[in-house]
Amino acid sequence: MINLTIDNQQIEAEEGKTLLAAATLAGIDIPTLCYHPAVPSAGACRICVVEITGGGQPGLVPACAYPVQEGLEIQTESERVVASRRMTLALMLARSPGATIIQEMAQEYGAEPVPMDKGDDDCIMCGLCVRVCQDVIGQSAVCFEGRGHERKITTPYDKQSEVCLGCGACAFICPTGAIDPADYCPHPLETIPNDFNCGLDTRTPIHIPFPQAVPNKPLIDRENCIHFITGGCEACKQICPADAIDFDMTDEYVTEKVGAIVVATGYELFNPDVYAEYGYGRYPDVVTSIEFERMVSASGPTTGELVRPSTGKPPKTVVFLQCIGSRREQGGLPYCSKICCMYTAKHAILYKHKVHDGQAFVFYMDVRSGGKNYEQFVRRVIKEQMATYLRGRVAKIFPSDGKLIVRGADTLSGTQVEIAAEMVVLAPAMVPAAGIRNLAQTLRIGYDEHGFLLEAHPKLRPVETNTAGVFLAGACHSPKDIPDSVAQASAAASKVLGLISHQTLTREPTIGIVDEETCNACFECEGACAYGAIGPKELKDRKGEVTAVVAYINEGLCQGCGACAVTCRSKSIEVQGYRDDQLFAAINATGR
Amino acid sequence: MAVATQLRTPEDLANLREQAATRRESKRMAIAICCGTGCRAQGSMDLVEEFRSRLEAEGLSDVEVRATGCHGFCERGPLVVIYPKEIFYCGVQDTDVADIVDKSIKGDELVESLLFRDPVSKNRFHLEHEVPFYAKQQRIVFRNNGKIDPVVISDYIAVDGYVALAKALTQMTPEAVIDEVEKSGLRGRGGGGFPTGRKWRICHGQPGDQKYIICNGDEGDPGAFMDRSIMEGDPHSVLEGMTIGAYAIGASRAYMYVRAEYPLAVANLEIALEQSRALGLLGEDIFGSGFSFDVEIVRGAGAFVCGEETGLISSIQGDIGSPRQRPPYPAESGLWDKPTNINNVETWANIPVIIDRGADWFASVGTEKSKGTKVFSLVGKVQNTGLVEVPMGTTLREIVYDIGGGILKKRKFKAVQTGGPSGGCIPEAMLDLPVDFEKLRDVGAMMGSGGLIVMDERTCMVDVAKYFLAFLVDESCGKCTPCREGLFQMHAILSRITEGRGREGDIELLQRLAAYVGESSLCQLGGTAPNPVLSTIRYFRDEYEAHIDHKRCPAGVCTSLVNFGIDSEACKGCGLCLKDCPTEAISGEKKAPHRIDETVCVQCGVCYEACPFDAITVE
Repeated sequence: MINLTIDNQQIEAEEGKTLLAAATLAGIDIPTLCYHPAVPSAGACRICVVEITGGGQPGLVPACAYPVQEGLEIQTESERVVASRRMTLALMLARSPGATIIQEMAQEYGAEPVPMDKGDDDCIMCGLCVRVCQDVIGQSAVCFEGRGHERKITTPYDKQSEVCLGCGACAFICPTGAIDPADYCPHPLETIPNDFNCGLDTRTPIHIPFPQAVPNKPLIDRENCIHFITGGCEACKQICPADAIDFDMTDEYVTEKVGAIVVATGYELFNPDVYAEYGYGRYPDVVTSIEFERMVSASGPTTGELVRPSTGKPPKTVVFLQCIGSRREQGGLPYCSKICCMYTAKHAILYKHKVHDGQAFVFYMDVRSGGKNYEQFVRRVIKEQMATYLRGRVAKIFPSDGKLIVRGADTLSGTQVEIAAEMVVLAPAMVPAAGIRNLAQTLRIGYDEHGFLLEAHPKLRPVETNTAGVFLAGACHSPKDIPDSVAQASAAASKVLGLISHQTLTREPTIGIVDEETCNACFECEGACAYGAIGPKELKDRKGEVTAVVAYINEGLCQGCGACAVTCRSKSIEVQGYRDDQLFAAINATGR
Repeated sequence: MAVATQLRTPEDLANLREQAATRRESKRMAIAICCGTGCRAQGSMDLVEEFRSRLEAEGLSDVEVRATGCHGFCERGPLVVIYPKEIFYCGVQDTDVADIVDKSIKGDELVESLLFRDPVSKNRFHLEHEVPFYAKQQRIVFRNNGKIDPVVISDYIAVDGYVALAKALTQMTPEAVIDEVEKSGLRGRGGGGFPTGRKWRICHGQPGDQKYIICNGDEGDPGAFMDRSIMEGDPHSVLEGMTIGAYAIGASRAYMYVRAEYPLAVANLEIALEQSRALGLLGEDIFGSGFSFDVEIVRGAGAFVCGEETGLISSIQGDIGSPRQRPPYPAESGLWDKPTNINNVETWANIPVIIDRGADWFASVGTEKSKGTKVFSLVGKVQNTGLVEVPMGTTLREIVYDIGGGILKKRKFKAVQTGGPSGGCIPEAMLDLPVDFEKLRDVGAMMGSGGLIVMDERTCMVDVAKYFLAFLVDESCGKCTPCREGLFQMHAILSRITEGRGREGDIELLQRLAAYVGESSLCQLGGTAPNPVLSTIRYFRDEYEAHIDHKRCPAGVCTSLVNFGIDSEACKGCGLCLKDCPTEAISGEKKAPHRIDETVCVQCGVCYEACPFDAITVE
């Protein structure tokens, strides 16, 4: 370890580290421009200069490229340092008056404009792009050309580079945003929509799927990763300080033996495309409620700033349309999606919080606010005039003069209304998650015509399914809001705990029994069983050799319905307690 | 001439030396013709041919014709010296050959017209060492230039060449060699003045088997050509120095980085390398010492900044010649990240002498902190231009007046610029400054590689600063902001001053920018680049003020600020100006005072230069 003093603070640093690394570790901030932790330092821009005041040759040195040395005394904000940074920024500003970061830093350091020759190049010649391409990507698709003030960044021979992978690292790393890879990149640069933000923004191939993901770790999207496409790049591997990048890692199927399953597959939104009159997908300012939710979220594409997709400006008028697909027997879904009334009221409040002078309208059929304090919540929105509630449906939305004209009926006043909206938010119906039917068939549980999973009994067993050990939670069962989902999930969890907290499983004794002597292993019964309780079983002799295969009934799964017993041609299955001889005996006894 | 047998021991070398010396002495006379680049341009190769055929025709086989390296007095080339008498002829043309052979070779007479005539005293000098240009010089580095044929290795061996190498390899340990060099007080001649012995010691002490030696022959300063002359005229002295250095440091491989603009130097070095290898002076197990070493020539591509050691290393590695931040210094991590020792051509050429004659002898020459001699290329407005080797501590006045013969056309001395484009301008008041590393640095100039440009009263110091800045703006690699942007802006300010658009505060802004560029730049190109501006402001501030405040150029150089007139009393009506004026702005009858029509004059200054009576006035 090496001991040195930075800003009068005693610091210990590893040998070979730079002054910048040591200072950063000690919480001392040094401005940088041509530095990036992933790229070898060049010490080119000189904004990170610090002053050696003792323990070495006194003078200004670049913190990003100067190694720590025993006994060095460093000042990071001395008069000399600040004067040098000011002049560096003044010179950069003269060269690149349009570069925002330079303007900001110049203001921060009070770099006064100096009467100098002005340029108009956003590139400050820091060379990060050249270094990242050469040293991290390993390609040298961008390079310097010329010398001195005539030096410029270009591709070799000013031609579209053949070795460019299209990774975009140069544009990503450029501190002034001076690089547009499309100018020289031979590969079309695909933008990857960010699914979690409903495609409202883009993401990189390496991404964390959503905030608070568990585990909260980035993953590589193989389809879009330059390494998996071209075999090159591997920039992430080079820069990862924890050496955590593993290109060989693949998705895997995990087989687990479990005693119970809770199905909680959630829901999706009905696609409002089908209603052409609303223009979703055609007019950028017609959005769904989930898109609106992301727009106003602090972790969303605009970090919480609500703007019109078409103009990037805050919408002054927003119209919320409820029941898009819900409660619509013709061309829609007959059921009520249950949550839309409440979240629309919430969205109206959020909208007023974001756009104080904005005006919100809500078209509704009925406000269904059953739930604790729900009605009061909606009333507050209406009373405090956060939104104007209009009972009726919207017939048509069409653009006019940069706005969207929402034409609908106000059935309470019996008039037709037209609102010039800057944004329209649709509240589509809730539908079960895609693929739920396949899942239900695999689990051998029932589902209704819309795909919602069936409970064992609507009143007495609302969490269980007909298959023992399979439970339901949330919107896979029926449209539900968060409190209801949580309640059902808690109930399902309790049921599971009740099931697995005993050493033995207590069951109704009424189950099928196989007579292994007579079973001829036709397995007609297996197909007949609705609960997946029947499978093959091997019979072995003393030496462990298989002598026969017969049907086996899982006692935990069997519901005692008797379907197997009637199917069995060899009469090898009988239901316990309802054997033929027992039934005959019972009949005989009653007949006496 | 090539000697095929390898020299295995110092005795082999002594034998060869004996043979070579005998062969040289067997000749009655030797005609040494300067075949440096300067004299070649004036036809010295033709002279060699002419002399040879003439001697053959006359049957004078006992006279040797020697095509030597640069003699230094380039102003008066082509130069011919006839040994053993040392008769010195200058400005020799092939038509003079017959005359010389008749009078000086066959007879015992002199060709009066070819003798050097001192422009000041009007005296004629017969012998080389009497000529004022040579009289005050002490030639250590240039010991062999002019005496040997650089492409004949036996010539070098005859003058005790490779004796030092044999001594170092067979009688000294690497440590002893370093001790000797350190004791000699030799400092790097490339400009930095870092003690060579200490540099070697640091590199010697680095761990690792693979170390490199580099000879920096990227002499980029405009007007400097001492390294070129050494490489052309005495390549073996550089190779010998490098081999001794490699032995001391523990390197087995070296690179010789030579500007591509020096084709003759490259050619002569290549010949020297081949000859050395043939004699076993390079290669495996030199002199049976177990030490192996070889040298490769790398040609530079013309970037001034590649003279900076880290830039040079990048260039050898095939990268863009841009310097990098130090530390680590090349001695720790240089070429291909291995410990590397870089010295300049002149430094290497000093080494054999130090080993051969001893550190004490070397240290007896020079000043307290700067030992030995320094070669300067004396150019500009002096009578005698050329390469000058003087002991450290010689005053500028001695160099400019005694050796250089004073200012041309009897004009007034204004300044001498030392140290190449990043050097400083020293005014007349400091002419008695003894030249060494510290003294030059203290007055805002520097030793650099040894350029000395003399300026007279007709030099505008703002224009000079602008000229050097323009060179540095062009030659900056453009990597760091201060050098790339700062110099560009300084040049822009100087341009507007010389064009009459200077503003109040420009001098202060220049000083601020200069201080910033000097202390914030990545390498020493930027670090020293403000010197020409700072030193001219320091000593010639009045000229800046005249440009900015009064919009006039006192020296009459900045054409935007000048109005030329003719002093009717001084004008003799010779008509030279009238003839030269490109715009026909001058009119006048012969032998009557001329006049300039200001509306037509474009201030080109041709008349100002042309007038033999200094009758052109400047306003």
